[in-house]
Amino acid sequence: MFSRHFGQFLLQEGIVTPQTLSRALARLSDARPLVGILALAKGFMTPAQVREVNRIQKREDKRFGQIAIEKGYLTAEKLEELLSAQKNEHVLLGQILVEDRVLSHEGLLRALELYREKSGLSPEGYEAMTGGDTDRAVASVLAGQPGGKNSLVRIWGELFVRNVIRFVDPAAALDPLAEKGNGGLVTFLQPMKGDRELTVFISAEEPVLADLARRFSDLASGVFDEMAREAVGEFLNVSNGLFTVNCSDKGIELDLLPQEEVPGNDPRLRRKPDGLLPLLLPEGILWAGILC
Amino acid sequence: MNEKNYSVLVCDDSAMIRKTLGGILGEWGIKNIFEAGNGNEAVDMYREHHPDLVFMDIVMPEKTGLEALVEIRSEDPSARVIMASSTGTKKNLMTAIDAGAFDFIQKPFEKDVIHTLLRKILKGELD
Repeated sequence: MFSRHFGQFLLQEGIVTPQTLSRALARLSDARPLVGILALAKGFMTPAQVREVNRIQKREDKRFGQIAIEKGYLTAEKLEELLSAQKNEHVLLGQILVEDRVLSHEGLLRALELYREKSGLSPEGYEAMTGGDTDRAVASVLAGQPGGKNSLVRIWGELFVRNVIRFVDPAAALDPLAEKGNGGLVTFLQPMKGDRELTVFISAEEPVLADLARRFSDLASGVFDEMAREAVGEFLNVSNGLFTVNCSDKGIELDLLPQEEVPGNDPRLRRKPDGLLPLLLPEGILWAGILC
Repeated sequence: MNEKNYSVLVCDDSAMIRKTLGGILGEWGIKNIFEAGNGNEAVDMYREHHPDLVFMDIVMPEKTGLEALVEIRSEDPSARVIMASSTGTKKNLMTAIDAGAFDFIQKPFEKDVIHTLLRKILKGELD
């Protein structure tokens, strides 16, 4: 989810300390996004307008949206959009940091703008990332990559991220700011043949894979041992299997071939993947790629 | 339930899957569990032990589960082989059915699905 990724960004930029971030993340599950913070994040209202409405709320028994409409800061349509977005975890972390006075409203706005700028996401991509729209977020990260317009790459990417969320970590988040090097990464790859020939791989540092294995299988202990390798391999196998089923439903038959664990400098990994997705997991980045 | 000493062959290149399935079978009181890591081993072990039931993965090195299924069923048309794979494509399903697979279960396994299957196959005969 976006909160974890945004928290990582705030940490890297020195905007928050590890302690304040950790405290804020611990409160995430109990928090509910406020209309004012959402209006700020979406650019519907300025920090001064939000503060003014908050002040009025202290002396008048009215809802934030009602006051904002009366003041002409929001339209009914915009308010409706914000109320729908409340269901998402959208910028909840920022809200907690404002409540904890780690950030001011202006500071939160600047941090979101900085994130938008550094991530290189399109406005639609940013909207999808912050709104938790996984499929559109994947499309946005893949856009500009060699296979960004390839429907098979899109199908793989969307399914892979959903599989990570489903089988490994419900809070996994795409991290468009991650930078990949091959050093120290362990890679599992699995070729497929049939109507197309392609290879799917996942790469990460050992602690990330050990944690993935533990989350995927009760048999893995959290240490990157033989059982963890088996579990990571099985996760890739399950994910790719579901991909082949999805392709089969669309009339594309693919057969999975046995997978291999290879070093980061394996010749097959030298060329730029058609699709490459960085996923932020608790222990670090999991890279997933497809070579068509 | 184990009046007849049931035996099951679990064939999967993943030791993790073999252990997981073995654990579920153990809950059913099945003690004779044989393990194979690829299709070749599966065919050899079937010949040697003639298990009552086989769980067979599809994607494996050396010989695929579908190839092993064909070989086992050609030698023993009464062999009960359940394909257990992540890749339940139409093509694989059709090939498995044509080759005489008893059933097909999609990975990741849900324990309830395995239990239902075992109840259908084993318990029915024991009662």
